[in-house]
Amino acid sequence: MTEHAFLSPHRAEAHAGRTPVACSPLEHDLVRAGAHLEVRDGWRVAARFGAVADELHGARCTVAVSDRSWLGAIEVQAPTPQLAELVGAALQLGRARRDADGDWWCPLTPRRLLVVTPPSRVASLHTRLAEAAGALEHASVVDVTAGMAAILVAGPRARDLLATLSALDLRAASAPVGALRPGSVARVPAIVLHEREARFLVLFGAAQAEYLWTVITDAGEPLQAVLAGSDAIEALDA
Amino acid sequence: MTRMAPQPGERIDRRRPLRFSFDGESVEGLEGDTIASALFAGGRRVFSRSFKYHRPRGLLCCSGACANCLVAVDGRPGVRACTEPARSGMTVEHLNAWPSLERDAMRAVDKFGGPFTPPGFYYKTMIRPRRLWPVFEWGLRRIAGLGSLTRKDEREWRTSYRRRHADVLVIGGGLAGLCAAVAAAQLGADVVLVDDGAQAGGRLLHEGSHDRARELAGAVRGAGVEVLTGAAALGYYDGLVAVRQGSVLHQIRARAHVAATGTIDQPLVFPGNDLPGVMTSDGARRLAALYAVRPGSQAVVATTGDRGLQAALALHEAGVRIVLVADERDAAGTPLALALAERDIPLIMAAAIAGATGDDAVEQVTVSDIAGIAGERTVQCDLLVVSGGSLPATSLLAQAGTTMAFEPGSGQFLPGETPAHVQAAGELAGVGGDDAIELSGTLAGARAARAAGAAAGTAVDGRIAEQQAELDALRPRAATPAVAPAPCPGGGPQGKAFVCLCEDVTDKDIAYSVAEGYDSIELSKRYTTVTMGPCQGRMCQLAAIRALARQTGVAAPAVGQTTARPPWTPVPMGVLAGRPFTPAKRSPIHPRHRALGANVMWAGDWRRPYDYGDPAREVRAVHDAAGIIDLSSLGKLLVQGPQAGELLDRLYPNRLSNLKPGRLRYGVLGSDAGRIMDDGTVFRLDEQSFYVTTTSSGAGAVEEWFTWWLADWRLDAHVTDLTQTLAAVNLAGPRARAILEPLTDIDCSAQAFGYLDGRQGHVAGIPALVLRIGFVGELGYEIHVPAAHGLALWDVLVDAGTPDAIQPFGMESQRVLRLEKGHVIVGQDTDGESNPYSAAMSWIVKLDKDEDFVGRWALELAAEREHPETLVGFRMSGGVVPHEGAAVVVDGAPAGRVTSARHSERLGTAIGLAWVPAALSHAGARIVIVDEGTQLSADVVRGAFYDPDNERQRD
Repeated sequence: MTEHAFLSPHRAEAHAGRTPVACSPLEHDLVRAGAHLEVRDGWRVAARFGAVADELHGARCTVAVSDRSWLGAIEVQAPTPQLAELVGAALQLGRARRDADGDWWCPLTPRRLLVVTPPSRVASLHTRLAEAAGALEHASVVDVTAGMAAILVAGPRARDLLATLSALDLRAASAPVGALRPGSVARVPAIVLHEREARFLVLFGAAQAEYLWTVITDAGEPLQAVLAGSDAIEALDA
Repeated sequence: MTRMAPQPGERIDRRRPLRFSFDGESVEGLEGDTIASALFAGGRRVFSRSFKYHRPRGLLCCSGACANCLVAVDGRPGVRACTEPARSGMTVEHLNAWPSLERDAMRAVDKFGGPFTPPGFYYKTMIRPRRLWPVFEWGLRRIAGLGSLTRKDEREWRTSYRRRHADVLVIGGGLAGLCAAVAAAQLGADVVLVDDGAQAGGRLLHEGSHDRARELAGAVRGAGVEVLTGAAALGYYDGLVAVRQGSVLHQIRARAHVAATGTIDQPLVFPGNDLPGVMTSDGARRLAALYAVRPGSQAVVATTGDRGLQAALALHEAGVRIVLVADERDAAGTPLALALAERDIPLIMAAAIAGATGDDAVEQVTVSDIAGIAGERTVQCDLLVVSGGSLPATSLLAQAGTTMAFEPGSGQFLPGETPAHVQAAGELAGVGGDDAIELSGTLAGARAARAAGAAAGTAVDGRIAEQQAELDALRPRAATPAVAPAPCPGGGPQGKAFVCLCEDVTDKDIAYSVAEGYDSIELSKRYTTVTMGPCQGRMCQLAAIRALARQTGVAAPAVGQTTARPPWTPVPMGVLAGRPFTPAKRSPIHPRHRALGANVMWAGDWRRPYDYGDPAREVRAVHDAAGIIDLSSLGKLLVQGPQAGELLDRLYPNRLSNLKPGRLRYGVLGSDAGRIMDDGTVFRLDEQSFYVTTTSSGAGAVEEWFTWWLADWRLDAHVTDLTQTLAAVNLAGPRARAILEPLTDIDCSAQAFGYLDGRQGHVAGIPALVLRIGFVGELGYEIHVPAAHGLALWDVLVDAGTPDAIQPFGMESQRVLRLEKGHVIVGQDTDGESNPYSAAMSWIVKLDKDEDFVGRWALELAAEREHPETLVGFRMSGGVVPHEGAAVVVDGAPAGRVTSARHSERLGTAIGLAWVPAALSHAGARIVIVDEGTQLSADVVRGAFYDPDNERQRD
């Protein structure tokens, strides 16, 4: 199976002494909001907006909104039995599976899967999946990292924020951790992944990043939402 | 002094006075007051003027059901003063009266205009002379309506939606609703309770049971129920209940519903029933109990049931002198009658109000014996408390699919069988007496939890059965039932007897409508507007049904009810609209367009630059040096697999499977009927991979089309939408190669990288797919890169092109450039009837392909036929640019149309594309274009206007 390098941000090479750095479709909005950017794993990310402690406090007490558009995304298509073989486990629609490496395996349809992974792992995962797909008939593996944007909504009021934008049922009983809910968020097709308790990763098309960021941060205003950089989210994870 | 001593359960805080203005005059109130209670406490009795007759109206229901107290608050009309909390500093104004509430000139309509304003008068008057319509409209707009919206330059109100899923939604926070919520929650259901009052408790709050209300509210919260107060349920929409709470529209989706919306105290119909001083029993009790405001000093109570008697007793305790109680029943419940007697309150049975009179307020009432034996008596009073039975608030139930059945004794329409997931509880369901109401609520809650799947098991079912048996045993012991009000008594004072207070519809108006043939409830409603006012039938539907029954001789059950439709309560349009969401797609390069001051326009759901201020300059740059345009919105599909080529051959009329890797071809996608759907390019990446581009606006439809056919044909291929994964730019112009070459590891020489070739490599280190193709007629490279590098690509190309004065160009200049080449824009130059033959693209269609392809049969037919119209280019004779859409005319009749037209500076004339009759489609034919009445001439041009041999593009 041919890997089409022109799709993958991580396939940038040095030119005139500099290697192009991938940037989030939200970079302009992040900078305007006061983000401090750093290069991590080939991406320019918003590390923080001010004091990490304040961002952490917001994430723990109200709701934090964070850009995660640098996450890698690989789309796999194959007939259902082959998809299960590729993944190594049966997949259940509506539930994402987190593997030991922390990658999320998200079945979108019985024949289409999206793997969400940190940028440092995109290349190796893509290669591994492409090799496995090559051994199977009828499978395709495509790096769609640059086409997916992602916004994390985290905190006790995360559901309240999303309730103003989406009719998805994200109650704990209906959408426990690992629940995967494709649906409309602010009239945009999106996938909401409940990745940790009261932490929702909203995945959607990169072209609508500015729009969705605007409506999400606007919806967060009455809830005293804070913007959180990667440092705060990593601290939360820890 | 109307403010009484502290009342148990009162809402006001006497330690916190406040002040607001009403019609410019300062009004004192207390924290917890409503606007109406504060105004009433200060002595106001007239709150509004009626809709048509401009009769003075006073407080009637004090619960937001009627329209008697509509005011404007801080410029916002349509506010019910009896439920709107008073706030310091608010500006309250009357509606619908001029020059003042006390002296309204339009009262003349009531005094003199009656004969000229019967029901439906607007269907019969103001028709001729037609030239006076503007005058009639001017007058009516000033006379009609309730309030006006001030046109403020800045009026912003933030509203939002909130979606809530639940197991059980309880609508109504009275006794039954509270018990239902507790019961459902205790069985493990996720419960939401909504109540339109300031606090849950319903009638408990103003009937002396506020402690019980508080206790139950505490139990509800303790059980984990989410309680929304000040939250009015607007409608039932297939399981979704919309609830308005201030500026928030809650969209609540529950698996099961309990309707505990109670009943609405009904007024009576008699001459003078609209005078200020006439109040419903609940209205009078609310004023007294919740706001410590004495509703009157000397009262007559007229009732058809125990509710009126209870009100008489309560008002007596509040210090109102009850001079007479008239009960339409033959016999009253003994304990209540005894209680009245103990307090020396006169009670007469089988008596009804014959009329009320007074100068702008009640001063005396006439009571008559229903049997007509005992005659009439006239009583002085300043308060007439009426209780004409109750209307179960069944609107939401009806919307949920419940049919109502008429109960003749009380004259009510009660819910029949409800859908499986809907329960009715309490007085709404015809249950009376607190014990029975509680049990009814508990039972409904348990059933709802069961239906929602929150509770299961035989123990629960058993308990439900037991509770039902208990309720059945209780019911016969419910309060002595009320009777339907007697017909409007004859004799007594003359005057208007209003069936519908909101719309000023009298009992005579109903008779009038029947006489004119509008003799069904729905027809009469539409003709007279009865039940169509702000109360939406709360105060008048039963009376209207009874009036119609009397007039037509049809029994009330057969008359039926009007159709219940949302919204159940008025709701501002802003609340329904919510936050304005207008999804927009933007290229990753969009920040640069903004920074350059581009004029941005919608192109489908994308925001794209129209121009950067000077389209003519942009066109010149592309022709003479270099231009760059953001094409990131192009649809992009990756088609992979062993049968990818076959898939494309089946989808397109072109032959594509024979493309060599590294080559691309223009493709036109056709429908089943051979019509042009979309166009774009197909590039072969390798043996099993193709890269397909589509129009920006067609991307979604094309992806669906591909996917649908793929599923049907079950070919071994996959389609992946890359539209948003890749950014793309077109670098075009004579200097394009020179700009690109130093930046890329791709050999850009004409020999190595020819026209319609594609190469993969890097541009400034960015992984890229570069296609030599162009829409704009000059040497050009379409460069596709991961969207995350799109901005960097733009920057590096613009930087590299600066010595050549590279110019960003937008959609407008692109349109000029493509038009010079005669390139078609699908959807603009073609429509749903266009096929490749008529659009002068016959070379696209490969009927010699072995495979069948979509639309083949139609194209085979089209190939054999003459086409009445053909798409051609034209050059204007006089240089005038016709409007797109202008007609091509033959012998004075439309025979075609202009689809594109622009002035070409390079060509020195106006050019365009048009559909013309086949007979005029040859090169050099003269055509006539009529544009906004002006006749213009043009000459047909076949092929490109500019560089017809494509030498510049193929350089």
